[in-house]
Amino acid sequence: MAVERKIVIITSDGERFEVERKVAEKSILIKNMLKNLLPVEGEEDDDYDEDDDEPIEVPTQNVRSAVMKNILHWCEHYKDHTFPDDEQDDDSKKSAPIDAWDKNFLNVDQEMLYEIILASNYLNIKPLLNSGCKVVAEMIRGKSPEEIRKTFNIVNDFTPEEEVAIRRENEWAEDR
Amino acid sequence: MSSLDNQVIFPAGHTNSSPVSVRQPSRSSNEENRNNDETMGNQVPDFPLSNIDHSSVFPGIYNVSNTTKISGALQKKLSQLTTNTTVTNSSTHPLSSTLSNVSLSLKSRKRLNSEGLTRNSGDSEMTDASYMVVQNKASGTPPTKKRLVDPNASTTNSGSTLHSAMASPTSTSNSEGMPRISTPSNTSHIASMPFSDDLQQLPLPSPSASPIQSGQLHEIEEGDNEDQECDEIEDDIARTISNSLMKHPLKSHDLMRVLNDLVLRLPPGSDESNMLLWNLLQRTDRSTLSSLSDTIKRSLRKDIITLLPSEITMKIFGYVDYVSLLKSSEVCKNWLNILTQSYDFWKDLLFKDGFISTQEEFNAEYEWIKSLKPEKNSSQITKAMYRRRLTISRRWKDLNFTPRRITLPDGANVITCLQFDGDKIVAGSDDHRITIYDTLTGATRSVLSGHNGGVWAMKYTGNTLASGSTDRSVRIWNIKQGKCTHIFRGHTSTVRCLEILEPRQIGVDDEGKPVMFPTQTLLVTGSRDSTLYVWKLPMTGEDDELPEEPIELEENSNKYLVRILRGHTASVRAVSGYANTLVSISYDTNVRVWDLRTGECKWLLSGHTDRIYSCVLDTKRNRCISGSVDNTVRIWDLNTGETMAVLEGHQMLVGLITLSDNALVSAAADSTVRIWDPQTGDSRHVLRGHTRAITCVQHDDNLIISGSNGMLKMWDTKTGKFIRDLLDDVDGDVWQAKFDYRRCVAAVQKNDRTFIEILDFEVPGTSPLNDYDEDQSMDEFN
Repeated sequence: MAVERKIVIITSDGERFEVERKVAEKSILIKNMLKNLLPVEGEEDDDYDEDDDEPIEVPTQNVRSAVMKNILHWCEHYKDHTFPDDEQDDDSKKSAPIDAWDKNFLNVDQEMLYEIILASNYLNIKPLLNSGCKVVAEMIRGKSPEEIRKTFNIVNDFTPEEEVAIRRENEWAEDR
Repeated sequence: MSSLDNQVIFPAGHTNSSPVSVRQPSRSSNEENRNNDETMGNQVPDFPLSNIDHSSVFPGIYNVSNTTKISGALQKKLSQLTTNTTVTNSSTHPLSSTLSNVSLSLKSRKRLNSEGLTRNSGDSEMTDASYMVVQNKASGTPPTKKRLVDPNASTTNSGSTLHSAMASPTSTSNSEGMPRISTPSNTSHIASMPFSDDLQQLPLPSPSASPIQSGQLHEIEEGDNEDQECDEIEDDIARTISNSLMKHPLKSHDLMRVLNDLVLRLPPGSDESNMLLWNLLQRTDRSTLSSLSDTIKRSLRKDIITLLPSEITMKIFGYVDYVSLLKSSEVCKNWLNILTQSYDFWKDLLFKDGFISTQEEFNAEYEWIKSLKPEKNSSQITKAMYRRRLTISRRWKDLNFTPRRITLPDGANVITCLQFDGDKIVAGSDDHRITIYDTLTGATRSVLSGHNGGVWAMKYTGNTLASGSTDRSVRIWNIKQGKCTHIFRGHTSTVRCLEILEPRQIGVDDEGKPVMFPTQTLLVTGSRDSTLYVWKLPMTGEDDELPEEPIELEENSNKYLVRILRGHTASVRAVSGYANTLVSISYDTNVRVWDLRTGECKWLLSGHTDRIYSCVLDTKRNRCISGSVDNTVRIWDLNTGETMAVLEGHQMLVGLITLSDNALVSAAADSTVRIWDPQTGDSRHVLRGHTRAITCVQHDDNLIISGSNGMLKMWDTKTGKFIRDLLDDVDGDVWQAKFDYRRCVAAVQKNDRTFIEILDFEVPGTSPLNDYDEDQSMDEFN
């Protein structure tokens, strides 16, 4: 087949996004779905190509369009990039800083960040999930408990006694 | 539900218009706005959202486009109405049909009714607030005493804004069968009310109605009663709306209240709400939007950590350092629970921060603490482990901390080799003996005697120790029993170096099973006779029954001899190996790389111009590094056999090389220690402070310990800075120095006598674990 069939991703709110296959396949979930739907090139079966012009529709029930738009933006940016297999994320990768482009890309409000993380987890886009987690980790790093509470709109539900006890238990970290 | 509602409110004919067609009408409506603004001669405010297609925000609401279109059309109509007094007989006035449509659509959500009505008292506040906005906006409008519209002067800027907001979620007139609250006579009043009302009167909730109006409104009521479909308006909401329209003169105030009533009865988050919001936002100026956006952004903050699935939370905390981890546990109960649920956070940190490098080491310490404190859960144990390791590691650099020191006299000999762990210290000497000390107490456990010459090579694994001597023999010992088990003969000169190779996985077979090499532990010995012997290491258990005399094996009858590696043409000075790769260096100026599976010499690495004294294998990067009397260090690529870098800087022979993950350290007779980038070979730091040739060095990614005559110094691996002198009373040589996470063990010379010095940074009574258990000695763990 000369012309690649189009992929249409349909979001939970009914929006349709038409994308290249390699963009869609940044999502391992979609990639695996397509693997079952689309014959591998060269293994075309002759008797069935009337549907070939029809785009393949991929419904993603858990992602709304505003989030999907962002995710596809990310996928588009990395469509020609091959990520190393990071099943065993070793320590050096863990301490690697957030990719600058990703950091900028994830500079969104917390609701969007939350939904992007959830969606990248659902769609199985590991590098994006990793970056999202790193961004949240950055929001925690180097902050006092009160600053963290402010950042995440959390109410301190410890009693003063509990708070003192926990702080005492953690005193050793303050040694220098 | 949402599509149904849409259809109630919006004409079905418009529902399927494509997004592309949206933009045109949307723009035209905006132009309309602008035209109005201009005709009023007002300042043109900046409405950043007015040009933006709503579908980018509310893609699910396809109908909004039509709304925009309608609102454009409506505005034209309305401006006609308001400017043209002759508009009569318009049985379907936009506003009235709006109200009826909305009320009908609301009717379909009866659940809202009671709730909505009970909110009225609270609503009035809202109304006032909203009306204030209106008042501000309309401040440019000259006050007029007229209660009713003067159509010719009616359309104000704020008025048109209000109108659009009102009209937008509506259809014009094609809602067949809908009850209507409008009569031709009052339409123009209703339509024009908001714009023409005397703003000064607005604060009064219901100024007395003019008789004329009352009459008109009664007419409406009658008209309503006559309407056959009036019983469809059962809705409290609809009644509320009708009432407010009928009972009071319609002023901006009242209209605002009606609008607010309507808005507050819309289901939160519904398409209708969103569309109303959008239309309002499109009419909101830049600075208001800015304030809004700030507030919205802040209100969107939420506890992501608690809301995310636990596996993602784990991932996030995996990127956080120990201080932040502790601070996080102080945030709230939820976070504390998350962080105490799993022991992985602290375990990962122990490895990540380099405190523990093997699973065995982790398990041993974990079990030890668990045995001391069985009531602690796994998370508390790993946290205690981290705390202990961190505290000890800080003490090395804390100049106020004095380690516990044990000094053991050892004689007048030279200590040639030294190895220790938490249980024992093993020292090989030129006086033919190997002495085993108890690490904790310093007591001598056993002295291994048998060699007939100085011991110059020695290593142990588990309970088995191998040694090489000037007596040309290799001896194997059972450490626990302090007995020699085997004597290997074959070398024809001093055994100068040796290496023990443990089984490692080197690949997988066809069935995916791991392939190990060597299959059993190997011993490789290098000699001044320029050969290397590869032996199977005969290992004995601590309690095995041993023969009275060691088994003495000649070369031709030794079943443990695997092969002899020949090729070097001078004394083999050092050897280093891992799995099937062995690197040997020689006074013949060459490095040889051997494949132990076949005995083949894979690479003959030539480049040094003088004898080579030291080498280390970099398994991670598949390289080896050699140091030579020619003052250089060379990094060799074991994939290609080529020199990757020649590290120059030392002024005299480079006798010692050690490697950690992130640092390559060389030490030379020129009394300097140098730190290099192991990846590039770039020079990082030169450590100056010693005054004589460096005799021993060891390092990890944090610390470097180096010895020379009279000095044992400690340095920071990352910065190259001097930290402290570990011993200050040495007047002779420092033969050997080794350290682990809590101890430094050194063999030094004082007053021409040799001593073993033990420096312990976990002093009894200062164990970081004492908080967890005051009664038991924490020092029994190595």
